[in-house]
Amino acid sequence: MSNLHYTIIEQIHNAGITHIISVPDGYLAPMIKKIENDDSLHLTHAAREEEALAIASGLAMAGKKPMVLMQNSGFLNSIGCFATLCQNYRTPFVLLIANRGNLYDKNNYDIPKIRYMDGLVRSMNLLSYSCHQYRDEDNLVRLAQNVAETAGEPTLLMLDYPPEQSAC
Amino acid sequence: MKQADIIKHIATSAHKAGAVVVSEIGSQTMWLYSVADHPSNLYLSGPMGMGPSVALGVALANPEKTVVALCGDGSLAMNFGALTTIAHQAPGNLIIAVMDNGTYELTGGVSSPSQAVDWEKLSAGFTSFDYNKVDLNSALEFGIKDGPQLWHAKIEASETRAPSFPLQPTAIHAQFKKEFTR
Repeated sequence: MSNLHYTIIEQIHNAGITHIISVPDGYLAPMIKKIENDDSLHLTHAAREEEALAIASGLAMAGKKPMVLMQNSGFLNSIGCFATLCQNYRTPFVLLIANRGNLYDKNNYDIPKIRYMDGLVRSMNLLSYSCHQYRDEDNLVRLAQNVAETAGEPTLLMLDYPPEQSAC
Repeated sequence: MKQADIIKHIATSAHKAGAVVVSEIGSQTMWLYSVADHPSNLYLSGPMGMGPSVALGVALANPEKTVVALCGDGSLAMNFGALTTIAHQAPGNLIIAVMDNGTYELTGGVSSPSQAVDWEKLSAGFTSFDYNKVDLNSALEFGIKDGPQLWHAKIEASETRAPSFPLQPTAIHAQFKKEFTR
């Protein structure tokens, strides 16, 4: 697991996050495996990304602080849920999204993911922040959680560079 | 058995037992509001199929409080993956109640492919679901179990639209959170 993974997990704890809902991605997999063995975080492996958004929304409406981990392609699968549930009910939580197709990715099949993800973020005017831009920030997850709670809607943290030991 | 009648039976019994009810978009939300409105009801208005997943989140938030997800057979067929996630989590405080009429009631009674589903066999395919048929004579139990339950209610196919639903999502969210966390 990379230093970035350790840092993010530490930030998750510091932000008061109680529940993690995840669908795997190569950037995120080492972190998910670490969280599996972390008794202070409840991890839910969702079968599909829009489910992850719905589970997080249920937790948030029940007063908890969930966080979702998924890849950008999964977010693209989930726009109906994001719009009609997360935005319509204004459920505040943080999504850590592996933004694949970034400058460091070499796979041809990743390119469309970032093209349409970036376009979607702009067209929907989503609250989105680059982990690379804020890579020296010690409390990025807490800051994103604060934005989500203040705005009353999900906030996206875009993991747009590879952790040192990503699976793919 | 009419959908409104079994929803009233399940929801009023749940309220008396201190359980909360999460309703799927469409006829479940509209009938629930019409026959058993309650501050602890979490009425959903989209997207179709996410009721069980939202209910799982609510159930995980407080394992001591029972949560009932009212779903249509058509809507659950849109999100069978939710049953996989729920079975893996195995919350003993979650009941998935399926209103099965083989049609999409709100959209004019169009046939649903869920007519091909054997709900008892489906639930048996997961490691942790307990299957029960329910009707208006069922004595419903809302205690914490060893794992999730799937309640199957066979209801009449109907094209009768439920009364309109006036509540706004942000108001529903605020009311539910206040009631659930107090």
